[in-house]
Amino acid sequence: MNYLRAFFLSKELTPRALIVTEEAVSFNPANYTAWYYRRLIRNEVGGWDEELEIIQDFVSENAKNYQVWFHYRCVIEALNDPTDCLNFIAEMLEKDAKNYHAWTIRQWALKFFGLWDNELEYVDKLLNLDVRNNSAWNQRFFVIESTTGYTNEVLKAEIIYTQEKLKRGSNNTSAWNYLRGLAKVSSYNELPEIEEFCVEKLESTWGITCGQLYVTLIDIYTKSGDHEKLATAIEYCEKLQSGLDDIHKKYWIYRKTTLEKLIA
Amino acid sequence: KIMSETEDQQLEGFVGDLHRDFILKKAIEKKERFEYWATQHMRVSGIYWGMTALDTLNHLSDMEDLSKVAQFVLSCQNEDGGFGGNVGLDSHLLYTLSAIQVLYMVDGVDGINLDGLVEWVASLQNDDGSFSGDKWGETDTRFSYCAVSSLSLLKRIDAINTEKAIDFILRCQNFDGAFGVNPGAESHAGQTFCCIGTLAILDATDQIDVDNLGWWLSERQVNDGGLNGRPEKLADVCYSWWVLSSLACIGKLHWIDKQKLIDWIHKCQDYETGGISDKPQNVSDIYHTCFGITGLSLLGEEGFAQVNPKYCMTNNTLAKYGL
Repeated sequence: MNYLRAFFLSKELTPRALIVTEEAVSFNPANYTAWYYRRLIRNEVGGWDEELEIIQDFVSENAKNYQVWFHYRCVIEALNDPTDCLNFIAEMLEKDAKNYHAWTIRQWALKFFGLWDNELEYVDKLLNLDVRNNSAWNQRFFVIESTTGYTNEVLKAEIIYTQEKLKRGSNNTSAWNYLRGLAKVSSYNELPEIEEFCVEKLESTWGITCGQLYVTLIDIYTKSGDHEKLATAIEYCEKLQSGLDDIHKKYWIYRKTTLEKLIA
Repeated sequence: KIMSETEDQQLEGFVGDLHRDFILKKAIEKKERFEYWATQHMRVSGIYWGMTALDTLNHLSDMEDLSKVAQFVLSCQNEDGGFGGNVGLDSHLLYTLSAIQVLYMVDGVDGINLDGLVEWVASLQNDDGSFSGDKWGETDTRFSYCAVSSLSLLKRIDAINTEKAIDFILRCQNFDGAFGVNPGAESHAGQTFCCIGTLAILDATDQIDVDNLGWWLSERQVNDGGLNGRPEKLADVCYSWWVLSSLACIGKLHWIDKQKLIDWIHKCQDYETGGISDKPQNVSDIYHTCFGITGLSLLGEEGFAQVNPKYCMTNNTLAKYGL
């Protein structure tokens, strides 16, 4: 550490200094000053291609480390070449599909280089592997918002998409969050098919097993302002608090009280 | 750690004294240990976690040589005004906040080059209101929190554009009501705390959809009583802090099943060596010890000092400088 510091203070920007920093980060990949110093040296002596190979190794070995991911991003930026970037990040996501750093850098790369073309397809692939991958659902929202936007046509298509995914497993928090999110962008009034879908599903086994179905109906009915629907929402709060979602009992008691005040 | 627990093991409740000993041992950790060097880049934060845990347990006075700690932390302040994670490391907002928090606890605030620090923090605010962690430009809502909390603790919040800072945070609120690292990023309980803490310090929590956020936060409680950081992920003790403090800042702490969470955190204690780990049966560490203890304080456990949810510092300590 003192050895590195001596070099750093001397402002030496040479291949020799590079070796010293490599030792430092090998010992502690979170040594952020060592990574900074490497960037300064590379700016001076070049070799960003080599740096890419090195940092990819570090990222593979230390996938939950902030510093190596940021350094990776800096290298890509310096090379100004995203050619393998999305593939590399996809490889990392293959090992851990919810790695927050990977997704952060992926979003950065997509925006910085405008690489939107195949991203929705990639998200779809991930959701086929794990329909409960919250990161992938969020990415879906991110891509659409950043490209076509949630036009009426897109909203309708996304509702169908989400409903299809829910059929694979109804207790999928992420999918329900996404569905409710679509209504936030627009409204339940503009998208009556959401309510229709939920009411239809009440008749199925979902009515017995799927807490999120009731969560969604409560959301719809609360926003409707219709007294009868509000009364039903109160019933649903009771259902959730008394068994279907009793870990969140305190929340449903609050919701019920709020709804009761609306009707009073 | 040996899996010595059997199904018959009695829940021993909270073993505060063991945790105190665990932390004090860490404070004089020998330099030969690997863990010492692996965390060397964030030494200042490690000190903050350990001392905050002790402070919450009302055992801060058990620590020796507080003036030495003050000296050490002050020596981490660089010429540019910011603090590094250790002596000779570059300035970063993360360690700058930790430094200030430690100096509060050891009465060392007066030793800070105040103007230098304030100028440096202010220089990190970007046009869109966000903050870079350091001169390299990475933005992250964690850094917004570090900047705002730092300046608030030093009573120099006027040095930044608070309106723009709020604007940026608001842009990070997602369709599910919670917040991510940057606009569009997946909602995450840790990032959410940083955003809500920032808004709370700036008195702006009324500008968000509180009910929607409150539901997302209380939904983090899973069936075994612990809290996770995102849907479909496992519970982790540190979320006891990130989620609870967020709920406290918006006045919805009662939406959590408190007893179930308390019982779960207790299970994450190491009844042999002391300390708290991320999950039951794992190895304990200072970070999870801190957030398990501060979480228990927020839950109203007896015998704990009151922790302020905005700052993750005890009210006793904050009162020293009139906050």
